Amino acid sequence: VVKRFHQAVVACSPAIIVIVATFLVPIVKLLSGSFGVGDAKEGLTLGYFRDVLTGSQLDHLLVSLRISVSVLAICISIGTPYGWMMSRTRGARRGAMLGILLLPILSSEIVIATGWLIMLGRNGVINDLLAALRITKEPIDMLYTPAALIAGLSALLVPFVALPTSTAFAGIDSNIYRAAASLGAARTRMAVSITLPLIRGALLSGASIVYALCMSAYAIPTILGGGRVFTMPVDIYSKYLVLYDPMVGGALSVILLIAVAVPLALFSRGGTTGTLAGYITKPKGQ
Amino acid sequence: MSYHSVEAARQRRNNDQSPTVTERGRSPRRERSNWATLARLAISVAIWLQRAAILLVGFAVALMLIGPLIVVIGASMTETAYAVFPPQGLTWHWYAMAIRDSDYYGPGLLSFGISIVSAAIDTTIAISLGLGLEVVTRRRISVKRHHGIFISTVRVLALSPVMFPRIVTAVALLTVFISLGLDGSVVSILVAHIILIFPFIFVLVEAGLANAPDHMRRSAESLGASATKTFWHITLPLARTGIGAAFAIGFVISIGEVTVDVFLQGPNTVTLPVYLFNAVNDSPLTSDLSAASGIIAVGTVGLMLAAAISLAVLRRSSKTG
Repeated sequence: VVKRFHQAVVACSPAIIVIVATFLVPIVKLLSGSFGVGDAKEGLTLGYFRDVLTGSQLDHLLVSLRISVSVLAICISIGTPYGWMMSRTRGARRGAMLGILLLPILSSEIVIATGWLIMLGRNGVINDLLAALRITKEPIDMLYTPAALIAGLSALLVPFVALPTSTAFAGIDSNIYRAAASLGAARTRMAVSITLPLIRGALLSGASIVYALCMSAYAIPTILGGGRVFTMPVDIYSKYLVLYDPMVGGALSVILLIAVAVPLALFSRGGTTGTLAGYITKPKGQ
Repeated sequence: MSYHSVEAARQRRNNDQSPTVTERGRSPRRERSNWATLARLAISVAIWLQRAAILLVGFAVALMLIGPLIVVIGASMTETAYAVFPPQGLTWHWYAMAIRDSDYYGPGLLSFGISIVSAAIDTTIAISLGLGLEVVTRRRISVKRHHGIFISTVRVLALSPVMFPRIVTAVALLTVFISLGLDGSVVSILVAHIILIFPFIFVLVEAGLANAPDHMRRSAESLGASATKTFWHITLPLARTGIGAAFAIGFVISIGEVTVDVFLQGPNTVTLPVYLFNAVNDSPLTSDLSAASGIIAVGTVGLMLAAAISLAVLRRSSKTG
């Protein structure tokens, strides 16, 4: 269809123009704006960052980090066994397990948040259940606490660990275990020296996606936090649109960007784009 | 992990038995058989426990993922005015009310329109980009080095919107829209959606275009077909599954988007997720709200089932045909 290099460039140009004009330019503007570029009054300054990092916003960053690390731990500890189960299942049951994983990805965050809102309330199912089992006497206030956020976010993000690990488990050649057993390896040794290295890539890529999405989640923390739990994104919204302080909002989003990007860079040397392409196309290809 | 243990146990048994029969004979083994059975029993109990634990985790995950959806749908059928689960009594009243309630129609139509238009625009420019990149990729070896740089740069650029946290994108876009005086306009939301879903659409379109091999296109052209004719008669029909999937996924992601829409919302640009988001945040949870969420949940499940069935049918027909 297209033959020469310059023709190819012409074919690529609509997409390039759209992304540069409507994505790259705003991002660059935001980054430079938070350093005071183009600001007539202040000029070049790190003042916004100083304001942000010395105030109460530092606490919000820590809340975000704590919640994200907890969600990450939960997602890995329950997503990996699920992925293992899925890799050992065939046929309709496998389809059902895959469908269960795809449900939260495809359904709106709002619906899931509403579900947790109904479940976690003082008269919700979970409190009813705890009371019926005689574990608690009085209903516990679970809503609008960090625990509620952790529950809601974990349920939303487990698939991003379970999907890649299940393909990694399925890809392990069982002959390796036979070979290891014939060499006298114990089961724990096999888990540590065979299974773990072979699913490491999938675990890391899943973990980095969970971490990134968790740090920047907005809708679920707002609904389940109910204005009492402030994570970074909730804080950015209130600074930017409620208090209308765009410069501080901009500086906060730059800090969020750094808080997401640095662990990601440490996590995955292979780059996240490949894994992203992997998990988008995988459901279709299976 | 229990798979390893099964393998290991089987292996151990094989290792035990083969020398027993051939070299040591049967009698020495009989003497130790009590301990051996006990050990084997312990191993099988351990395996069984591990299996039970993993099964339990599996069920817990399934419950955690489906639970909220079941609760939303269940709570929307309660006879009480506030959403409660398990529902008290069963009624379709709230669904009728949600459907009759014209408040949902404006946001719903807006969401639908924006998602269709943004997915269509993205699919079009993604096809163009995919074809362009493919040509450069194919000829890279024979031509210059800057072609390779061009490809990797464009690729990173195309996937970049998904690498940035949505909230950062939202803040950046809002700042620019305010300075352009476009904040609160439909255009601003449309542009945001075009940006957000582009990486997903691009990845799937590219996978689809890989289904239209270059040699087919070249043979069409060598038979005298024009470039446009080749595109409409060869490339597009061969790549249509991938392109269709790209459009569908883009549409689904766009129509469920909350974060960016919340930032960009104006009085006339409240999309359906934002409408529900505001309603859930501002007031106690009423049953008709739960019903509206329930409609979305059922719609998602239905869409997924339809996609799975059509995919299965497609696969079967491609096998027989």
